[in-house]
Amino acid sequence: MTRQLALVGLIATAFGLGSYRVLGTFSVFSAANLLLGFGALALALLRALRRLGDSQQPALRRPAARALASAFGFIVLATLIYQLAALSQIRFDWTFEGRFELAQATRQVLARLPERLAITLYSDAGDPRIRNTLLLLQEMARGHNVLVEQKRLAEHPEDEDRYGIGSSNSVLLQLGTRWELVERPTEGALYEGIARLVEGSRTALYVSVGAGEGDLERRDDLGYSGLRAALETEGYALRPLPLAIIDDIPSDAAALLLIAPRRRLSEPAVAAVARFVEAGGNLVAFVEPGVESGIEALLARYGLATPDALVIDPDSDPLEGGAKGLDPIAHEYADHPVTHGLGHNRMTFFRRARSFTLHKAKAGDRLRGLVFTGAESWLYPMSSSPPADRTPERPADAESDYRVLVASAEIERGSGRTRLLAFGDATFASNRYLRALYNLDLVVNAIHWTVEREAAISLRPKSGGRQLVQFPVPLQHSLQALYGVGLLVPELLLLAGGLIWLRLRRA
Amino acid sequence: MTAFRALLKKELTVLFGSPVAYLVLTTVAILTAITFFEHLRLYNQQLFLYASSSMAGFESDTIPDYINLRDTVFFPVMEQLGLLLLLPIPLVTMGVFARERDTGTDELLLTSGLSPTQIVAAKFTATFGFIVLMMAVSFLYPVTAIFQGGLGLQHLMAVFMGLVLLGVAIASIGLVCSACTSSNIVAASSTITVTYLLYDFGWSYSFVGAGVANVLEVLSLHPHFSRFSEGLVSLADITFFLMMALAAAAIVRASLELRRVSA
Repeated sequence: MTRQLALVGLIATAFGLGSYRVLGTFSVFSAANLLLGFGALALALLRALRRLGDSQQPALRRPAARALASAFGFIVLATLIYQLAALSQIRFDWTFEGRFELAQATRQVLARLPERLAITLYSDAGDPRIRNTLLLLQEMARGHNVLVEQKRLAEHPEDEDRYGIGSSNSVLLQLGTRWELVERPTEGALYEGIARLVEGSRTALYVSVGAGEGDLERRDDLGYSGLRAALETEGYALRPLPLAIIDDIPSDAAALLLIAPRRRLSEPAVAAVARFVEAGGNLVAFVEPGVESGIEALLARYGLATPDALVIDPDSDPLEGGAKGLDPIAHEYADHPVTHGLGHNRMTFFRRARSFTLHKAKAGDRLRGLVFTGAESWLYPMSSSPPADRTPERPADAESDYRVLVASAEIERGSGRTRLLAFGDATFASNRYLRALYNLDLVVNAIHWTVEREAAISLRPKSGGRQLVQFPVPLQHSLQALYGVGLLVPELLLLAGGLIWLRLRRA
Repeated sequence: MTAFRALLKKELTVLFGSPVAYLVLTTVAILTAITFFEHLRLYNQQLFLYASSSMAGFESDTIPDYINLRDTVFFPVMEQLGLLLLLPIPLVTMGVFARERDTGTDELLLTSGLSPTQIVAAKFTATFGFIVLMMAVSFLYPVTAIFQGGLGLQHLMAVFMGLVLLGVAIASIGLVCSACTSSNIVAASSTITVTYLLYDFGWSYSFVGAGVANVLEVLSLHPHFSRFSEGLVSLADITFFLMMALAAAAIVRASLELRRVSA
């Protein structure tokens, strides 16, 4: 009777749960089956225990109880071991793309959380994107002060209104009373949202305007709004500074940014910049080939000379068509905080660049080349425009050994020690190229170094997620392997099994 | 130790002397190969479709993110194979203890001088060995295909490990069911039912509270095993499956002990 009850219980429970699982609602059928199933299983268990008690002679009860206690002990032990393993949070990412390894910058910003960060994932039932987002959020929560929660959009319409949630797979980040909504939750977008919440006081960066500099408000490919957003995310307040009409750079400036002025700066403007530097102010300057704005001469005064010529790097293939060598792709870096983490597989892309030569203006100045072109690079003078569709011929008397695309200087003049950072190109930081390769990391880390925020230097998650495996597996090989291994091996196994079975039967 | 080795040898002989074992091995291997090949073919087709429609090649940005080896091949293959294992493994485990009980040889075994622990260890080792062999044979083709493509071999190993561990967990449930009955059919059908119930409680989270849902998630087989298909190998998931086998062994051992005492 006990067995029959157990069998009825199992079948009824399976049908009850199965029908709910398939239909998604509790019907009379599923409820009745569950009631019957659980009831029958409980009765079967009671009967089994009673029979066990009745059938045992008093002398045999002790060994029986010992056996049951031992099994119970093992189950408790197994549970404890599992809990310990779960607490250890040890896990390995075996994906081809390393997609569960958070970028250095994400880990750093999560480690800096001043209080618990609440992350809520809003989803619709059946949204396939939720699986990946949830795994990413769980990885962020691992070992950090983060609480992850998942909510159904349909069950929380008030949140839709309050936070402006537009679609499933949106993530709400809440730190204290402040919040950020991320509607396309890649690691990069989440990092930027968290960074905006975490950053407290902002460092002031003054950006020169009025002489044809790169426009931080402009949102098209030629603009620099991406750079602005990235710097604001990293805790900077960017303030425009019309050099032509001011006497001095404000004293609260952590650094002055000069993004490739296209027109010549007035003498008083250059003098103001020089006074700022000599008073210990930090300077980040972007220069472009074919332009002499006056900044080039100022940089040369501090040892970072830059001839007005285009670097031709024969080792660089074009990324966007056009002639080879005109747009250097750098993969050689100095060992310096600015280039920390960059290397042969973490390249930066420049669009028509000029280079620097370093000559100490004073003993004690520290000049460093940070980013280098290929060893065969040479200079094409800007007195004539380079051809766009082919690599210029290298003349026999071409100047070579001009390999430095980015240079730094630490100098001491007047009242303080100053950091200067010079880029031989500005276009590489424009909206079109900022997120190409590791350009964003190079430019933002350079600014961090210049204002002495080395702790913020890191490699950021790439906005489009990590590179996915999107290459074909040769189908011809797969088909050969299917016949050669996938089907042949089971066939041989079946043959062997059949023959062994026949032989055993005959024996 | 000699008695244990003899029992292990006997178990392996019984297992491989039965046509069921070969049928299960062959079926799982063929289904794995065909499922994997079909998904690989679909993945290639989708890649070529997007690459040729844009004429931009495979390194362009025109291929949607969701078409990749992980989401198009590994994850769906793993999901299908995981469900597939619910059927053949109970066929292998059903007779391990139930047959002995049915024919009365369990009493001989229990009085042979072997301890219940040794009996459990030998039978579990033989069954788990069969599971590992079954998955190894099944994975010969995927490994060959992926190796030739030069992609994601390590991820495939995670998938393999997940399926082996899931197989071990299902076999553990099967061995417990087999130890509780003398009928092969009852053992197989109760294993299928129990593993089906334990496989995934995700559907029940909407009507149980958050606390119960968390406990149910820990007890479900699927969440632990699906992380392997994501390429995420976690100590907690490995431990979950191994501890499930340990708990199952303890229950079976207690069942044998009770039988010996009552005999």
